[in-house]
Amino acid sequence: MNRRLAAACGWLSLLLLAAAASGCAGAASKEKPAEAQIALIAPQRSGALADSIRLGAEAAAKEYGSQLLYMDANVSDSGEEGQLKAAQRAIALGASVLLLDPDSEQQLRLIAAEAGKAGASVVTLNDTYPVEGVASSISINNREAGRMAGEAMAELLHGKGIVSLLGSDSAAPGYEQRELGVVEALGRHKEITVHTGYSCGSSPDGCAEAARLLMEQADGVVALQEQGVLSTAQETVKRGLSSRVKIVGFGSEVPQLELLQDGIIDILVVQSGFNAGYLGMQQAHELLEGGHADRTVTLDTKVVNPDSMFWMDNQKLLFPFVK
Amino acid sequence: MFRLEMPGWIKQKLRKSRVSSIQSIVIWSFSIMIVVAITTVAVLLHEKFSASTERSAFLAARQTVDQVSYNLEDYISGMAGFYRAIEVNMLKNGEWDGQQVDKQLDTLMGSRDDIVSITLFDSGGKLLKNRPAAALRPSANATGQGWFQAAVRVPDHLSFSLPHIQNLYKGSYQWVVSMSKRITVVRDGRPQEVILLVDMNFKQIDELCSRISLGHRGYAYIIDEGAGNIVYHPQQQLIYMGLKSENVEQALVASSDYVEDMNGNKRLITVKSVANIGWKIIGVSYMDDILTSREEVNRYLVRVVAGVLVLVVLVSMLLAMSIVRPIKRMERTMRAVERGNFDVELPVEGPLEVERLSRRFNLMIHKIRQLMKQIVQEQESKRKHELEALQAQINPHFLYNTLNSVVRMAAMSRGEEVVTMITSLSKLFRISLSKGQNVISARDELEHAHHYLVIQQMRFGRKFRFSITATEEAEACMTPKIVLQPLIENAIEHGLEYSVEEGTIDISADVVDGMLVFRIEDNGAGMDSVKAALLLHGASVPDGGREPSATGKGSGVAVRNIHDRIRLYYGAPYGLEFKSELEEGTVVWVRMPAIKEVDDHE
Repeated sequence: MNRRLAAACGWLSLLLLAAAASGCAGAASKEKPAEAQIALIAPQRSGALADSIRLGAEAAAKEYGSQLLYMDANVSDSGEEGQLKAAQRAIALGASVLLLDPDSEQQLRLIAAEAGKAGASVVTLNDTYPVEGVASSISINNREAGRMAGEAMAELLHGKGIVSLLGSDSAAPGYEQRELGVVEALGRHKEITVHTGYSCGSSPDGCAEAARLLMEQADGVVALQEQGVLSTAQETVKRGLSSRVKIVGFGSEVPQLELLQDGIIDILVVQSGFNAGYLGMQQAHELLEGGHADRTVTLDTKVVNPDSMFWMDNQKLLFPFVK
Repeated sequence: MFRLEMPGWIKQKLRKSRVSSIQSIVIWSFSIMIVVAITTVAVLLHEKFSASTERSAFLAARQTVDQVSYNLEDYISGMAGFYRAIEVNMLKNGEWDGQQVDKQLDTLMGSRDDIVSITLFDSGGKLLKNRPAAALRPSANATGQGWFQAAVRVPDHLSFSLPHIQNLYKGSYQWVVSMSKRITVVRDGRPQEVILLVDMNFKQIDELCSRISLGHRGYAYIIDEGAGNIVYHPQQQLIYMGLKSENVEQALVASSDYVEDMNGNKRLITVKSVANIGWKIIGVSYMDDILTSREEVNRYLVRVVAGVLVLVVLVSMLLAMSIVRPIKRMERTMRAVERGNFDVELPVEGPLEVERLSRRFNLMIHKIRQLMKQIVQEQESKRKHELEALQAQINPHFLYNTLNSVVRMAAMSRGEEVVTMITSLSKLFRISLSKGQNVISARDELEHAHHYLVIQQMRFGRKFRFSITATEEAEACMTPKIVLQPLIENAIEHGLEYSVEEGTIDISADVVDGMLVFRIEDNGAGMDSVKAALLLHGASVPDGGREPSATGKGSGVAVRNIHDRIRLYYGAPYGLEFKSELEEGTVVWVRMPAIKEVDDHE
């Protein structure tokens, strides 16, 4: 009888052991494989917008518990193809979704092709390019934003005067749309003449030159690009024309905001880079989870002037909350 | 023991399979019973447990939020103390210029990292002094700002502003909370109203609120009790951008804990007002975070039940085995008995019932063995009797006497008689042998008796007469051979030999009531009834035969031999019966069942 009991005990312990082993195996198999990654590819020229995009993307990454790779495009000798190189590095690191504010359509095309080969998705921020292979784009309605800027300028000039449009030398469709919107809105006012054809790039020197030229005969300047706005404002400060020449611009960089507070810039049409980053990350997360990403996500824009910029709502939009 | 009652049709089905075995009944009933019991207990405990965890979770959340509130109160009163210290250092005697004051202020500011700036305005919004020293932005518009107006509105009251952007100085826009107060100082002998502004950042508040633990995902945020504006939130930027929202309205009016449903998430909201500043701390804990979720407990429960089930099955298998094993052993033993092996014995062990059953079985087997032994013994004695009968018939004494008579007759030249005698003798032996059969027809038996009588008659010089009568029916019956000869011998030796008058021996055979009855009657000396009784019951059947009979001549042995032999063949109701009277004679009845002769018998 004792021997039988011992045998029973033996069997029992064996069984428990097996159960424990299977339990351990179960626990081990629960561990996730290496987490799929999302890469945020910085633009080659950084600014406040790029910074808040990064902030937004990081906030969303924290919220969703995903991992965010930040890829700097400003690496030496990368030339014009900084973003492409950064994207290639991200893919090599195992990124499955690429978030970027493309520097140019050409770069985006190459990156989309590159990502398509690797099975990764691309989400563009701030602009909508007609490029194949982009899963989702987060952007403001640039046409509408242009219209808002045009309307604001018309109001500033009381519907009368000459407006110079300082465009962008970038071929990004967003700037074209903004220009169309501005011209469309100003075109409704018969006594306003619009001069187009001026443009500047991202370099302060070129923009200052363009600003100087168009300043000569204008009552108001609408600048489509951040650098253009800054250069124009600085030009008016230099000339002491700030009270006479009205400046309407796009962007929410700190120098712009300071000039706005000081009344040198009259109107800024702002968008939230933070939201762009956050929503882009949200879309990327959707893509990772195998869900359906929205083809386009439209962000709100807001018109602020020196008086309204410190309204609580606008404060929240303009100034990132950094602890 | 627990017994499962089930409908008849299930029972039927079960019986067809092996499910109705004791083993499976034990396993199933134990498993079901224990699983039901465990599940019941677990569910009851679970209810109790979750109620108490809920209570303690609520309590823990409450304590945490209270703690944050106390810490925040401490912090706020610390800030107020700091403000007072600045007030004292800067505005003492209305003297705020000079390096001494700058140094003191710098020391105060250097001691903490949550102070952004200290600024002193006059009542018209003109900058009087600031630390760190920086140029005021021309467009700053101090008088239009909330903190300024709040200070002007209530003199000598320290007011805390909502978070806002500090836009007084060039170069940076920072989110701050402003402490401001309108103070009347005497400067150069004249009273002057000044507004002291101290801007603080969120470093400390953030630290206070992020140190708390409200489960993995829980957090705390601060609202302003006046309008419900969010003062601080761990995800303030998301709130500001409208990417996230809180149900502030409900928290604003709530005075105790409540549970809200936010996008399908159940959240425990714990509120606590912060004294003196008009803020409210809202603690948010996710219910599935702080309470062990039901699914988790259920999963655990299922695992426990499964584990216990395995254990129960094992234990009940062992149990059933301990019951079934002796039964199976019994079955094996019975099968051995079935095959003819009676030399088996069940070990008397195991449960009481099994022990009893084993004992009974052993008794039964013992009895069977005994009976078999008895049968063997009976068979043996039957054979012995037959052998003895055979011996009786070729009794050398008889043969010697007969041959002696033949010799004597031959010497007296009585040839005819010699022929008769030898013929009878030869026929006597032929019937005796009768092809080795033990049972012969009554006809042959009577013929045998006849030849014997003929021989004896001649030997005894015709001292007696004899007659043999038989019905045809009786002649056709079967009888063990040589049952009559010893009786006749007896009648001659004891009845007639010493008789003076001529003796008679009448033998008849008849079938009466299905019984073959031989009747041998002599008119000899007879015997008393005691002697007659002793003839048959003098001693036990097997051994008694050897003992000398009461007559002292040994013929009693032969008589009892016949009696026993008939009873061995046909049973107790049959056998011999004596009726004897002294000087009158003796009648012997031999009774046996009337069994018809089979034509083609072997």
